Parts: sequence; structure tokens; C-alpha cells
Amino acid sequence: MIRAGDVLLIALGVLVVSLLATLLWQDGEAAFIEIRGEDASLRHRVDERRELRVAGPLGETVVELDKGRARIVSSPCSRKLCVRQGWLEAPGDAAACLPNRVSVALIGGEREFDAISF
Amino acid sequence: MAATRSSREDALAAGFAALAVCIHLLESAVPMPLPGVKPGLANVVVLIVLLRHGFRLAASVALLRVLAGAALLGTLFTPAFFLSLAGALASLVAAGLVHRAGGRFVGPVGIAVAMAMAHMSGQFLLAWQVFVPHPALINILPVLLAASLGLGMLTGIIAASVLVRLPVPNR
Repeated sequence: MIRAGDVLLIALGVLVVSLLATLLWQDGEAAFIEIRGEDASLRHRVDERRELRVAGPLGETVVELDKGRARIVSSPCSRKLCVRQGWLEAPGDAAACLPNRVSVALIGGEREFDAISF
Repeated sequence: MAATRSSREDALAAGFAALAVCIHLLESAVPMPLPGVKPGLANVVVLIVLLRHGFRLAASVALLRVLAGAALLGTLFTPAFFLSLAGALASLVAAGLVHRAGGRFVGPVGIAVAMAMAHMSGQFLLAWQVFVPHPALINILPVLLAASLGLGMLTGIIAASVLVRLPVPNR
């Protein structure tokens, strides 16, 4: 029922999947943090210690940077889901405070985007 | 007699497409853990038609399946329809190429794997480029392709065991 070409095609499929996985899922250090507020977004280096304050419709969301990682320290929302998200450490990690319209995401340094949309 | 031959072909295409539509409808009622992933059992019909009746009839069946399936599900000309169409077209091209290039070295399982992965890729590329152009979306592609690889093998095995039992049509 299974012929030589079938085995070859399955092996090719496995190869494609694992190649894509290793190419796409490489972990690097996060280099930037992208903070999106209601009407502005900013990108900041993440390799230092400081606090950033972003204004939203409810008030100020405080983001803390700590040498490669970041977290939302406080936000004027009711459920604090963004604060409970904790530290963001790898590129691609993100936290969002929907009530205050603020989202933060870590971005790796080397990979460039294929497309950016807003 | 070209006329009777083509009307016989039309009848075959319609019959097989009806079968594929039924499977497509039943399948869309089954909840799946990942959006965009489903067994693709309707492809079994397309694959069997390809191996028994050739590429042209298989293409008619696949495209009729997309069109009639979407009409019955109420998704005609919505994003879901175009995703389904992109998948079906990519899957047809892959099936035709693999079948032609592989000859007798490739059986239903290999063709089904190529079809499933092409279907997923075509559908994903359209979704990613047109409907949800978010850069991070591509990170899920390996998961989706791995799922389609496994499901492709499954549909291939099903197609192979159906082909063994299906009587060869007399032409």
C-alpha cells in the first residue's frame, strides 16, 4: 500500500516542518519593546533599567524595563490581567491592557519584519 | 462519440462532487482544536477520482466541492470561501505534479500528504497575506503543517483502502 515515493514525500514533509520550526522558532534576546497606546506607539531599547509611563483613556499604565525583560507594573484597569501576565522575557512575549488601550510586546533584535500593519 | 463521453464525465463529476460536498458538510460540524485544521476527508474523494479518472475530473470535483460546499454552508464569497478555494487549488496543483512526476512510485498516501500540506500552505498564505497580515502569525505555520502532514497520511491510508475495495470502472 505504501510505495517508495510515499516514504520520500513523508520524509520531505517532516523535513519541511522541522526546517520551518527551527527557522521560525529561534529564541534570541529581546532587543526592543514596542508599546502601543491609544493613538501612538513607541519602540524603546529594552537593555536598561527604567520605567515608562503610557497614557490611556483610564489613566497611566506603567511599564518597567529590566535589562532585557519587561512587565506592566500597574495599570488603572479593574482586572489587572496585564499586570498578572508578569515578566515578558522572550521576543514575541506580549501583554495587553485592553481597558486602557495599551499593549506591550518584546521584539528580537536581528529578525526584520516581513510586513508591519497597524 | 464525444458528446456521450463528456456527458458521462459530467455525471461522474457531479456524483463525486456531491459525495465530497456531503463529507465536507459533515466535517465542518466537527469541532477541531485548532482553527484552520480539519481532517480533509473530502480530499479522499478528489484523490480517488484523480487516480481512477485523471486530473481533469479531479479538478472539476474539487472546484465543485468548494463552490457547492460554500453555498450550502452560507459562506459563499466570504473569506472562508476564498481560503477554501486557495487550499483546493494549491492541493490540486500539488496532486497533479506529484502524480505525474512520481508515476507508479507514488501511491495515494504520498499524494495525500502533498495535497494536505499544499492545501494548508495555500490557505495559510492567503490568510496571512490578505486577511490577517500580522507578522507573528507565521509562527504557527510549523504546527499547522505538522497537523496537515499527519492528517494527510490518514486520508491517504483511507483513500488507499477505499481504492482496494472500489471496483474498477469499465470504460
